[in-house]
Amino acid sequence: MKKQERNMLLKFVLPVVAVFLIFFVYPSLRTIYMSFYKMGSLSMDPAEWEFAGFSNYVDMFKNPLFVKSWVNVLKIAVIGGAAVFIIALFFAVTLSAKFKGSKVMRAIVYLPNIITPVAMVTMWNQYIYNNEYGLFHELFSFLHLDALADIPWTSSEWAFRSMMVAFCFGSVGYYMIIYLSAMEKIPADYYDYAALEGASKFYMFRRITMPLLRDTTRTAVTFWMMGAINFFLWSRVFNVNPLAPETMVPANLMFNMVFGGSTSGGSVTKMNVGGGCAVGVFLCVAVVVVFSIINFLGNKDRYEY
Amino acid sequence: MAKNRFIKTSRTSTNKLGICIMTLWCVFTVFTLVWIVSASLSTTSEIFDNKILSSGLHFENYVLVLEKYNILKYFFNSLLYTASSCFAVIFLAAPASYAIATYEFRGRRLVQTAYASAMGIPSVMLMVPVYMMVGRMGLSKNLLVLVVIYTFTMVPFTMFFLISFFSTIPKDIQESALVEGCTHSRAFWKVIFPLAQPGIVTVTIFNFIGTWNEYTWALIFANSSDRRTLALGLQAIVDGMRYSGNWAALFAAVVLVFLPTLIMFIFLSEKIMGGVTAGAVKG
Repeated sequence: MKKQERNMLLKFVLPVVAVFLIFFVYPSLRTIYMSFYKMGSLSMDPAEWEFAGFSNYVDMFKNPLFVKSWVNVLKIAVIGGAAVFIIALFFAVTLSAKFKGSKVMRAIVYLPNIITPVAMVTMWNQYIYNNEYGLFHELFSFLHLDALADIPWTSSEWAFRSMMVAFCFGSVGYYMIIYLSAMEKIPADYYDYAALEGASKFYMFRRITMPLLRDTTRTAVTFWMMGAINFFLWSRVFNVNPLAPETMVPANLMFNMVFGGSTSGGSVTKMNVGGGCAVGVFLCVAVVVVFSIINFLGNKDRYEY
Repeated sequence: MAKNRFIKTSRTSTNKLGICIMTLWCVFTVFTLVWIVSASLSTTSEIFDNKILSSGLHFENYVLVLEKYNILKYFFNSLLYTASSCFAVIFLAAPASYAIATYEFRGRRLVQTAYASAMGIPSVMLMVPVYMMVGRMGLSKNLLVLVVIYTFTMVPFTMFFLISFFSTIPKDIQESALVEGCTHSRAFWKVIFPLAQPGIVTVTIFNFIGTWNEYTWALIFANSSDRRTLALGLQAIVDGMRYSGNWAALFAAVVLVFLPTLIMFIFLSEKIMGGVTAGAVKG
């Protein structure tokens, strides 16, 4: 009987262990290894790779595009994050009072999360931000705000801000849903007693809701930060030129260095596979650091209910 | 009832400002979608003259996109990649999750922790060696490569979700199956697995949406006209239309791309939004 149980466990667990080793561990280690070598292209025979020590990393920090790409990620993480979390929390509070149409509103705010991001980008770029018939152009012209109506939203000067607004707009629904369901789990008595004691609504939000949402916030912030660090698709699709520095992010930079960046009429970057791997390793380190910081900060005085 | 009155004054009192802002937010979203659908049924010059739909419905935009731009091909590619990998990942991850959730064995914690951290590994960390491995095996033009990769990338989240799901199934059920003479693996496949359908359906909906919208791996392994996914196909069409200046057909392509997920969302919105929190809040 024991032997049969062991057989079952082997049959059930070994395949995922194999997948873990082949698909997650080996490639990660290989990427770290490659980041210490110089190689011209992906097809180059490993025997011809040239050991480069830390020079890929040194070059990386000297590359202005690399620095720019992290500044962009930081802006998305902090400025975009603040906006998304404030709006999501505000919407969640609004929806926690069930009113007529609240379910439909919840679904509509969440909707952008299930639309293929490339389609979302196209809707923003080709309609909302369009300068001839676009929604913003028409709306601001109608309101006689001509300065706003004439802003070239997708020009290189505005592209990053426009991209961030569009991305954040779509993200709000996800965090709203997470907060909403956490709020619904808080026992109603807490609010009843606080109301009996004469607490104001804002006071209750600050002293009851916020502390009890601490764990949820930690999870949500982790998700947001991971999304910001791994930001890729929008950077690649939003700008007509996927290699433009204004909308560059690390994952996209790495992709261009490794696979060469020439999709549609953009200029071709010089391929530097080892350097690209260094960018990837640094990104992975950033994930670990951010993860540890959030865990460390979030574990102080937890509330149970 | 006194109690109800208090509830009304505290948590569930409505927030008028919030409702106003949310209404505007929703109007913005719905208006955009309606405009895009209308534009896809107009002509390009109507779009530029702000007179959409003024000369009747132009279904020829859709005909053009469907016939000349291969969008059906991309659609079936996406369906093939997504459906097969969502199916495969269950058979890989469900037995393992069950074993981890209900049996004590050496290395159990290790496997669980390993997969929890795998969720955090960025795909850029994997893509170069994986690309080289696939190239060395001579498979870079094979449709199945993306299916296998999607299956593997979904294992961490699927296990994370299913481990917590299987630990909610009472142990008595498994024990009574064993008493009746089932082997340990038969007990799983014949008794537990059918009972786990609700969890499997929820995680599959998530896997489906994630894979359907996936972009990075597809860009590496499926960026040629016969293997493209719907997302990459749309990007290629958008790039093409920008040069040919056919905006009406461009919007028709956008509509064809978001329609399948939109329809799915209309029917499954409660389940999808409920699942978001099951996956996020429990962790």
